[in-house]
Amino acid sequence: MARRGQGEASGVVRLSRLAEQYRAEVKEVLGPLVAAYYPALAAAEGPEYRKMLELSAKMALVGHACTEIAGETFDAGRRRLAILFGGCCFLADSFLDDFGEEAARAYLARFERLLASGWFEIRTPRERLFYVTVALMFTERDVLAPLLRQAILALHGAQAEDVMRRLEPWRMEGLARGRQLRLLRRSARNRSGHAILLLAIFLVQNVALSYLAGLFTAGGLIMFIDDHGDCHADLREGRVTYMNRLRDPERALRRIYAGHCRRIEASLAPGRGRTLLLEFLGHYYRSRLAKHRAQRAGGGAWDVYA
Amino acid sequence: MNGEGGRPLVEQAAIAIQGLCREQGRDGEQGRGGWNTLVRIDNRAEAEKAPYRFDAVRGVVHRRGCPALTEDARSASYGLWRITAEDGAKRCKRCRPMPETKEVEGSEARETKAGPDLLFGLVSILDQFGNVLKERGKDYRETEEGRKIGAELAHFYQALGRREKEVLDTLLTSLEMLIGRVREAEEQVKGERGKRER
Repeated sequence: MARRGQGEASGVVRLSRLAEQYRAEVKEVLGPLVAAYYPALAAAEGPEYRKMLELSAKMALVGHACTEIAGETFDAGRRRLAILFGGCCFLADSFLDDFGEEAARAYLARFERLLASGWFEIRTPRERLFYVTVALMFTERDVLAPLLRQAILALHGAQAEDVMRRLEPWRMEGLARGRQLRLLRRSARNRSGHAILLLAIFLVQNVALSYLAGLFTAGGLIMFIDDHGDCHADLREGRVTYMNRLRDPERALRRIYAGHCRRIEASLAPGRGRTLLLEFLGHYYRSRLAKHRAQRAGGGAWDVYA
Repeated sequence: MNGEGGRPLVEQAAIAIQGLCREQGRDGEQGRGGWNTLVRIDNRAEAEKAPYRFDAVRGVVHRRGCPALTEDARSASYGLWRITAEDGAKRCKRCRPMPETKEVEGSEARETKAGPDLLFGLVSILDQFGNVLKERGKDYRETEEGRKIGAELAHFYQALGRREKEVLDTLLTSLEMLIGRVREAEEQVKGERGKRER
């Protein structure tokens, strides 16, 4: 037991040390891009820029774990790629979530066009930053690898489904509660499951199939945790998620967390990468339980982002 | 290598290329140069025809059309063109997919070369720097489709503005120089190794 305790302590120390390192690296990678293409983002007083940096640091942590699980080194090139990926995800989500219904529909159509033809008409500084970030990622990786292309499309498809459910709630109204919950649960699982696979495939070429299921499970868990953290803010904004439809979401999340961790341990080989991933998930789980409680007391969606 | 305003040229080129987007028509229509695809990431149609599907939730590989792949699993599945004994994935007990000993119809290699989505446009131009597609492109240019796309690229280049042409030319010239240097270095290493072996 003593040895297990020491191992856990060293895992927490490593997570904390890496988080600090990646927060600094994220500023070095994304800072100049924001300054060059969308300086208003960093100049604004709101928390959006800090949130983007924090999300990208988390992507670097998860990317580090994925790379080590695959038996590779998380070198400077991979760190940069994971950070760009985080910035790109943050901006893409903002297009879909922050500018109203009409803009969300328009962006879905424009992303479809980007994926089908490569064309993306740049209209705003935010879009310029997004596009440059995407282009830089594409220069560092063979984006025409079949699995990578499918992961991009799968992630886009899962996001589009989620957005359309929000914009057209009548789609769900005729369905029985059980069916609704199954659809919402699958949607949450797929959004983050495909995102983590995309990150892993971006970082490691010729990725082994044997560890993708464990990573997909980890991705799904991240979304359940995330949606629990935003439970009350989502409800205030009329956004339906699996977690905010449950009668006792905290109890459900406890069960989901334990089950997913068991599946991750069963499907990924023991090692530093798996330990880092589980430490990250544990930290994220605890922080989002706290965020949920803070939101219940009236806090906003962006009050906690670390 | 930096360009205007100290920004890396690769970023400038990417933005300049998308500036041409306005000159493209609506989806499905061709632009004035006769081309309408820069790069096609969307490979859903090809992936649907892949001989195997990998269920990412359960980590199981199925043959295409296997009834054991449920609707739920399908939304989290990926098309595979080949499976190997080393990939470590579980096999569906119902359809029992077996690793192929020879290349199958619609293999991964064929899929990645399908359609006018390979060489030209954003990824191809940017990727010249990463040289991922460059070697692949040499083979592709020899095909009939490659020659057709070559003509489209010529139109594409003509449609670029003076500044964009300069940026691209600078980038491509630098790339050629870089490749030349690498080749020289490679020849030197080979020469040294040959002398030692003799």
